Amino acid sequence: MQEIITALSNGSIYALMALAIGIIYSTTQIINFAHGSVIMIGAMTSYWLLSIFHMNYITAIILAVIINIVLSIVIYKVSVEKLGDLTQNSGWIVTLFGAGIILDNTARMLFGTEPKAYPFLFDGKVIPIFGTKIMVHEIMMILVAVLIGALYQIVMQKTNFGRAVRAVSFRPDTARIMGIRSNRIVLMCFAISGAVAAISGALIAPITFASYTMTYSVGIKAFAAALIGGLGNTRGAFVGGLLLGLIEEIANMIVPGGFVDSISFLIMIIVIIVLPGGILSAKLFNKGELNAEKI
Amino acid sequence: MRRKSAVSMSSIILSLSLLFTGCSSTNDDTAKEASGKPKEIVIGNIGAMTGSSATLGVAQSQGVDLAVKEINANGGILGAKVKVVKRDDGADPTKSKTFVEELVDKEKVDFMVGPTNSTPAAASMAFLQQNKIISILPIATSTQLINPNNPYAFRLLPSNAIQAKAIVKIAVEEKAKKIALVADTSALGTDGMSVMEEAMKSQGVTPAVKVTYKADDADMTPVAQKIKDAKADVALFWTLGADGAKIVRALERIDYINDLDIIGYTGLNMPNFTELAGPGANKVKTVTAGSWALDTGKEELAPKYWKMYQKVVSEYGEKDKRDTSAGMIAQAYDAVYLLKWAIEKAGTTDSDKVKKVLETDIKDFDSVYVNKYAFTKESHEGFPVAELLKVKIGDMAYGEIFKKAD
Repeated sequence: MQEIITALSNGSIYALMALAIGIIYSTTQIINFAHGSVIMIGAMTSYWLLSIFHMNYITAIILAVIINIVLSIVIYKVSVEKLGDLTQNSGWIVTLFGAGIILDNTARMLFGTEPKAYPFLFDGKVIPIFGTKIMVHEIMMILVAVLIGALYQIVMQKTNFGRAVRAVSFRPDTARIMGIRSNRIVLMCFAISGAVAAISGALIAPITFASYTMTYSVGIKAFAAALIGGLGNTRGAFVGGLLLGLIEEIANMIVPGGFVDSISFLIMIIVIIVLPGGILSAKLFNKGELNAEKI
Repeated sequence: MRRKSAVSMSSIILSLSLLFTGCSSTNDDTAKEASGKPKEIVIGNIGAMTGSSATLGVAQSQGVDLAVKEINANGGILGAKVKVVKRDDGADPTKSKTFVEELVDKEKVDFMVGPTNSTPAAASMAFLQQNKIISILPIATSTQLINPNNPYAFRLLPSNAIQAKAIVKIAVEEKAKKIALVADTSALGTDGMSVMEEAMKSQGVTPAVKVTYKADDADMTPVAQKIKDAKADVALFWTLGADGAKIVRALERIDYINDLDIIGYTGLNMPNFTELAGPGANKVKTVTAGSWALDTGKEELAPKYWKMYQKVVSEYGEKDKRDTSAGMIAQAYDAVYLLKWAIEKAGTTDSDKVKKVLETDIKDFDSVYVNKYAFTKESHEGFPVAELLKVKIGDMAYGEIFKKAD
């Protein structure tokens, strides 16, 4: 039972991170290489609000979300928007990598090099479930991820903004002709991605500790989860995230700790070779849906 | 196509950043007079000053800087000023090797303090030996660093093998039924696992489970789960502070912390451990230098160690202001004074002559970290085994000085 909960809770966080990567990818076809650093800034910010200003958890998270939204908008304005047509150049790889390095160095100067002990939700309380004691924080990791995923789906399917995102994703030029301001939609996707990153950071930091290096390995796993499931859609993010969590947990049982990542990434390579568009690109999951409907 | 180009660009960026990191240096030549008396003595100081082992490198630098400041204010060594050239290897063996080569070839260092971490030290050791650079290792503990192939390396902390014997002995004395061995997959951890197994064998005990993990892994829950699955009542941790703390938190996450006693090697003594591990730190014992542990009921160490502690506090502030361990600062401080003493006794900076003094006359050196170092011609392990004592990690005075455990 504990193994299942661990797989689900870690998988949920990978899913949240993959979702945030997918939100940007769906409208721009670019991968935000600064995303791991944005998650880290979200975690470090909420840590400092909690420990220095002694704010309550909810207020600290809300402020961290706001700061991350502003940060993501700045990243978009500085590192992406100026490049013009993203299909015509690959400059975004350098600018977004650069933005990530700048954020990491800034965090190191502001917050120091030492990892910080980020508190578990509900003071690390454990409750008995099916004969096993499970930490409430882990359950919250799963619930929050599912809630955000569901909310995002509702926004995408039921609101004008969601329709606009899908239009920009499916036919950016047509969307522009139809009067949809693509730049503004992309900007908002960056903002949403930043907000989700702040929440992911606060949920993962009690396990990884809050530090400027906290997402170095987790961030890569988020990219892996996004690629395994299928970049750019919510279900893909969750399929990839949960599958990665499960693969890791199974691998942990059968191979020594140092080899677990190798197994995870080997499976990622196999999936990408067999199904370049991720698991959800398999025919089984595509019965007459348009690409725009998969977001 | 775009994904392919993204991967290629990423590789180029990473390669360039590594290249640039390795290239920053100044190019000051060390001047020496024809008489053999040095005009300036250059000491290389290399270690992890950033990253998860940053407290080690920063502590080493603080100790080195403090000693050099005092030495220069009092006329230097053999009348020569001492210059320190510092490099931050971030505990990365590749960087460390590059920096060591740079310090020897370009900066012309005469002696070296560090690297702090065992894997970087192992990576750079051969080059230092080829160039006959005496290296004092105040912190790195990997067993293989001190061997006949490294005749110019001297260590101040107890080696992994010595520590393993000590922590296994504690577990056996405390009548542990099922012992879990925990170590990472780096050279340090592999060595740690190997010496713990040897020590277990010599005590006639078989481990209940051996658990390995990748250093700096984000999530240590699988490590904790394996300890729980084995129903271990004692876990021997060969982990650094932050990783050890993550495992303790993961044991809390799976609700097994109260069923387990943890005994760690000195790497767990890193100052960040207690803060990061939270209440679980109270379950952890370790071993430390007896001179830097308080006797029951006492508030001060023996006079010379207490004087050193006061010196650290006066220079770098109380524990909460400096992050680093005063004991570790004292080790690095000792490393520089050890070099000064040996150079002055030899009357030269010649490596072979200084080495001979360290091997034969060490009883004359007045340490501020141990009672007497134990170097001999046969062994460059300086830590006197009898001075290694059991302490409880949570039980500290002034936030950093252990109290001797019962």
